[in-house]
Amino acid sequence: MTMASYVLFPLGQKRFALHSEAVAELARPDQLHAFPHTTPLLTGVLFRRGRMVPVCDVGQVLVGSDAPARRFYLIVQPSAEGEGEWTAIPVTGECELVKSEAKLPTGQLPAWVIGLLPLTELVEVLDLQLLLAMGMAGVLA
Amino acid sequence: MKLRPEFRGAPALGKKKPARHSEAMILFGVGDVTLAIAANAVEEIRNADSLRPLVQQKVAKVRYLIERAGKTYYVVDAGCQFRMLPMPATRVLILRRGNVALLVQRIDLMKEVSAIYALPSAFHGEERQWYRGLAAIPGVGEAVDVIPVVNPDTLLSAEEIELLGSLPPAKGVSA
Repeated sequence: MTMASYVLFPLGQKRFALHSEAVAELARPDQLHAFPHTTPLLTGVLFRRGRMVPVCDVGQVLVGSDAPARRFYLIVQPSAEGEGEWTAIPVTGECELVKSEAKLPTGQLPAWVIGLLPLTELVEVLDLQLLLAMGMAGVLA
Repeated sequence: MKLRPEFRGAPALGKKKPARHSEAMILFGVGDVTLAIAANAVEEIRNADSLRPLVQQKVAKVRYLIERAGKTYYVVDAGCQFRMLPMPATRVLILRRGNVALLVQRIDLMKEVSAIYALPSAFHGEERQWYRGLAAIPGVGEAVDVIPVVNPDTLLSAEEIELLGSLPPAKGVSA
């Protein structure tokens, strides 16, 4: 893999990475609008910039249900052009932008881990669309 | 490098525009949740005194009937419909179309709503049938309340109505 930009975000004690093109913004804590539904992992919507943004708590999958309270929302988009539906991911702290060269994942890692960044620790690079698809389909429940 | 909140501008592409027409909505509550239903879908709002319990329960969310102008309506418990915990209900929304009524805990207010957004496609469960969309209602200051708008046509399926039609008459006592 070649050098690329990644957004690092914390979930509890661990950090994860996304390709920076996938990230639209980092939002401060916002009002979560919750309502009855049956889709796994979704906790409600944020109303941001005239959009209804579904909130998907992937922390349940990545670090388990006892992760600390999420303090920010990482707003991700399916394409670099901003097309498609945004999704908000609750994260536990501030994010960082890094340039790094990802290594290919090794060992028994989940399918949504598409690379490993050799930083102070090995940070998993996520295929968020795959993670969301599997999580919300209830495959991981 | 630390990222500032909102470090990238919001692209305009891909933004779903809401349906823009003003529509009167009745806001009602079940537990902590507020839901909306189009006012023109509701024929009458009554208290729950005149409910008649069904002798047999074949559809879990329908435990009562109510009569209005010689017509019998199946009363759908909103808490059960939206997978919430059972709670005492006090009001019945008798719907205009079909023979369906909705049992709710409280009526909050009536409001003109000018923006109904599509339910994001990430929601792919039963809620896609439950709701017409999400209403964005201006609140205090810059706050916006997001309230799901119930689709009255999906409260009972044709199969459920057929099943209910095969039941013996309800008890004559009030609930």
